Amino acid sequence: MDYLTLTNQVLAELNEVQLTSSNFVSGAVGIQQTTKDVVNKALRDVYSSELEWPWLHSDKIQATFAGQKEYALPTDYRSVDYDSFYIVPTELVTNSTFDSDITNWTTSSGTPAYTATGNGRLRLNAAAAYATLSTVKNKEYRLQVRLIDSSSSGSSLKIQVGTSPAGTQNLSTTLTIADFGDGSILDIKFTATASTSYLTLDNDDSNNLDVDFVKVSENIAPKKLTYITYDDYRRRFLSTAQINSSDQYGVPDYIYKSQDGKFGLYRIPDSDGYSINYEYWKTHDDLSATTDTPDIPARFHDVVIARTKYYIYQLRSDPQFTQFAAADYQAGIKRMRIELINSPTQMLDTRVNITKTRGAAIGG
Amino acid sequence: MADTSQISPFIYGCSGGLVLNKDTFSFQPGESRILQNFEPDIKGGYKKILGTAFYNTNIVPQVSVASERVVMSAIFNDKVLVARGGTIYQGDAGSGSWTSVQTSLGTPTANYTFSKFNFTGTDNIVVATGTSFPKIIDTSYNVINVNASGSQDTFSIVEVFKNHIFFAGATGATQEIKFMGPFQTNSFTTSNGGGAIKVDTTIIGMKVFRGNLFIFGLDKIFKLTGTSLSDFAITPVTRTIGCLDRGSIQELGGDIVFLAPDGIRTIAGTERIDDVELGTVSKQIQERIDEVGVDNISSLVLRKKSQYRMFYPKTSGTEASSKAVISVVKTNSNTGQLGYEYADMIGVKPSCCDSDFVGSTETAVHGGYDGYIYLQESGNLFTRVGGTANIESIYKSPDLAMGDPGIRKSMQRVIVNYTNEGLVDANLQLRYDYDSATTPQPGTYPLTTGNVPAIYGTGTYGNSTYNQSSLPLIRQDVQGSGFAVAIKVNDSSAFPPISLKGFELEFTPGGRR
Repeated sequence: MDYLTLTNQVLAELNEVQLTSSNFVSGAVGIQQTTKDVVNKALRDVYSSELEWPWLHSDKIQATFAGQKEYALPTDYRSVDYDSFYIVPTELVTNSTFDSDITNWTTSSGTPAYTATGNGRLRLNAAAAYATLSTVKNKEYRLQVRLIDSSSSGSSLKIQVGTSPAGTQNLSTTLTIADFGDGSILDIKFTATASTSYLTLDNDDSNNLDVDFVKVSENIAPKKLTYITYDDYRRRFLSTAQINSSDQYGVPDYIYKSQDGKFGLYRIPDSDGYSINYEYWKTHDDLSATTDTPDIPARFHDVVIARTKYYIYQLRSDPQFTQFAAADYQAGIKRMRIELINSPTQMLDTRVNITKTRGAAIGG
Repeated sequence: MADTSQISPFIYGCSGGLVLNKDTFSFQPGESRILQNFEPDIKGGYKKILGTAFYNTNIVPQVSVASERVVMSAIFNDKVLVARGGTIYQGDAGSGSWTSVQTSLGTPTANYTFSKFNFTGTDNIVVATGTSFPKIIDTSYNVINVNASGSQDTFSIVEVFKNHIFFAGATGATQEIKFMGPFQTNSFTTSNGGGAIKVDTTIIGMKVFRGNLFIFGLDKIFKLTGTSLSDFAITPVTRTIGCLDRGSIQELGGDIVFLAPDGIRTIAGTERIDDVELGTVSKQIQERIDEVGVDNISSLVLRKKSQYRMFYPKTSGTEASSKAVISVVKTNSNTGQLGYEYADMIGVKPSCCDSDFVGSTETAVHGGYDGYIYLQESGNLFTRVGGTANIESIYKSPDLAMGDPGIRKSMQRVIVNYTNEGLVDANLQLRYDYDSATTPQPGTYPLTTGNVPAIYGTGTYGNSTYNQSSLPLIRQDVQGSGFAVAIKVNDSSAFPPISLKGFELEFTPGGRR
């Protein structure tokens, strides 16, 4: 239900005059305007009744900067899962998966095309395209390409990395598919020799070769960051981190929550090439436009209606129906918790040197 | 069984008419804040008025210019005598041409007055034009020019009383009444029983009532009693109240009704209370009376409806905006008292009018500013030169607090009781909290029926419905809430009149916020 429908649902249950799309935004008066306002208040109640409703979940990728230890959390965060922080190398290819188009890929020859086959692909037929990469000289990078031979022709895709388009200074190889109907993935490494490298994909034959994805990142092993409290950070690492020396920089191991809405890393990153991936639960925006739809799944909109009625009945000094609406709301929230909030079936004991076995599971 | 214990009913019957002089809390439920083109029905309730039609589809011929209005429309000899531009015509209903009866009466300056009499076994009508000697016309449309010595060519008022024809309103003699002798039609001599009387006010009109001739002055009213020159005597009825316009004077319900400066008054009432304020019978519509201009007032009575219609169009106004006051003598079903109930009539622009019997049928006609003669109480549309127009009928109840203005009423249902004579296509509306802009006001609810009740022997095949209630109820679910609720019914259809009888409002009492 959109904002209009939600409001009208409440008005209908109150046997009040309903709104239309033409008078909803600026023509609501009296109980109509109150109901509009209270719908948002009820939504806030529902959102606030749990910290981690699944529809508010979001992911964040934070690029690191060499020497910067703290990073702002998203402005719309309300809760962060500090156990979800991972450090991964930054993906260097823009539009590496061709989900909806082949933008950021430049034609080198022929006519590279987009095909919506699968989850979106780059189609090369007597064509070549290249992407520009920001690299660091003498650093090693991992390259991964998935190729599908949709013509079952056995043609080879040339994969080249160099200091110019179609250059082969850093890498020159081919990928051929033998098992038609299935894709083939090339995993290969190269070492950059300049700050700007060019990755070229070239099919000389007049057959369709579809590239599903191309991923390039620094050869760094992703790892989970361990959460420590700010006090722990201060006690164990703060003094070291404050030494004005790049000797203290490196690949981060720990994540901590600062006291001013940021997260911090230790060790302090020594490169711009890391990405910090983490999960959080965002805040919501109040409904405003007629067709705005709340994030709550539609099957639970009745809970919002019940809460709205609760406030309206309260406004109208009707204690009996206020209690009925409150009971409906509480029952709805309970149902939502049962259905939507994951209850852990295990608890992880992260203490050390207790039984000398980390991760001893306690059945739940 | 459904629990309806929380639903409270509020029932009222439609009676009391248009009331404009009460505060919100003093209104009686059956009264109306707006009653436009609904008339208080002597059978109870408020009934949509009937329309108008051309009496004759031909325009009354003009004499000089097309803007000449009709200054007389008198029902006489089962025809209509009309005057326009200084010529009197006679014509039948339908589409026949108008036949000239008398020409060269001068350019009219006001409506002609007329009085019907029968001295010799033949019906006659005497007409005072104000611009020529009076004319007496018989049923063969022969004309007698009343020009005997003593007559004046500017008599503008005429009345027949005790077999004497009385004239007044002559230029330069506005306070004088002249009369011819008994059964005389062109003699003012004393030897024939004629004479003259003066009063100390400008004479506005004359009307015979209960064996007396009432003389309406600008600021006084007199009564002439007696039967002949030998015993005619003038006595004052009131020396403080006069009449604004002779076109307003009519006999209705055993009284003479006229427009005084302070409203519509009755002669009997004025006599009885000796000119105290209570004599005014239109206090409930004083606001409307204050709007009445004196461009050209005309009036008629509909006897079978105990109804008085006073038209007060503005000369420059359109037909659609021209107004009249409808007054009905009836017993208020809520109070049990006999009195006057009022309504507004909007949409016709009479220049002059008359009502009388044609055969045994009461007929009401009016002459228009457009030169046509119209039949009132005909059809369900207003007929105009440019075509027909639907009658915009509106009823709005008082704002009903239903016992406690501080309690919110969540409306659930309105039950409408009405009678209909045909298809109905009206709209029902609820207006909350005195039409407050900050309270949601619901849209209209259709008030329709295709069922036409008929009494056995009167129904027509294909029109009436077997086993149909003669007092149908419509149960309409409604939305909204407020501390006061007004019912509004709007009927702009071309269907036969609906008569609203009463309403039941069903609501759930709420809190005080």
